[in-house]
Amino acid sequence: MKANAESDLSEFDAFWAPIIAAWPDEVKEYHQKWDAAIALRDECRRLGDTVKTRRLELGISQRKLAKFVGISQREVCHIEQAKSNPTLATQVKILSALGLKMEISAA
Amino acid sequence: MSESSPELQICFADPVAFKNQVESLNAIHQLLLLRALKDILGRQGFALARTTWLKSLGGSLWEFRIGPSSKAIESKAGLLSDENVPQTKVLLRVFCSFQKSQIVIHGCYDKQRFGSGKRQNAAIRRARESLLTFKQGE
Repeated sequence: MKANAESDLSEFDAFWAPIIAAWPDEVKEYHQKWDAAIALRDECRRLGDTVKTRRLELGISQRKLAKFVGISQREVCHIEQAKSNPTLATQVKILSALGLKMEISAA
Repeated sequence: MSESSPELQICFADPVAFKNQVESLNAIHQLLLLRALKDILGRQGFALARTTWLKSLGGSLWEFRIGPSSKAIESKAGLLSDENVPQTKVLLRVFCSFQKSQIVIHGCYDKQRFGSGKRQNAAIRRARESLLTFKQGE
């Protein structure tokens, strides 16, 4: 079990592959939904980190940013902590207020 | 270590024995075990020792405590709550050790199904033997 990083990762996946294959469809579907939720979580964290870092760089309070964008301070706080999934419109408004823009790229 | 850290490498001291243990679980518990290993232990690693999710058993052996529900696992993994997903009760114990950047799995058992102390002690004893064999092979 002294393999390098890449083979360790594949060892984990290789271990689970036949087990996953034997799951009933509804469990496989739950697994896929979980993958999607993890991807969403990671994107929300990226957004939250970006907003917080930029807001602090500009010296703007959460309250001021919230007022400018037209949302509550609590929502800004939740976005920064990746505890909410803001609408695309809210994301664009916040990024615009911070002088940033959204770009979509291939995964 | 933050939850967004890159995944730690997880490997199995005895993949055949662990596979037998996993296959004794029902499918949904297998899924919850996989997700807990990958999305919680693999992401947060030793930082879990500050929580109730990871308990020292002494002698470099640790117990990763999964449960008490699928919702608790989703929440610990940092997923946004989805009230539409039905919740499942689960109480799994995974024995592991930390070897540099690797997490080595030494076994698991279903505490919900086999809650007796005798079963638990036997599972821990097997895990200690696994850890000893693994260290001797290093």
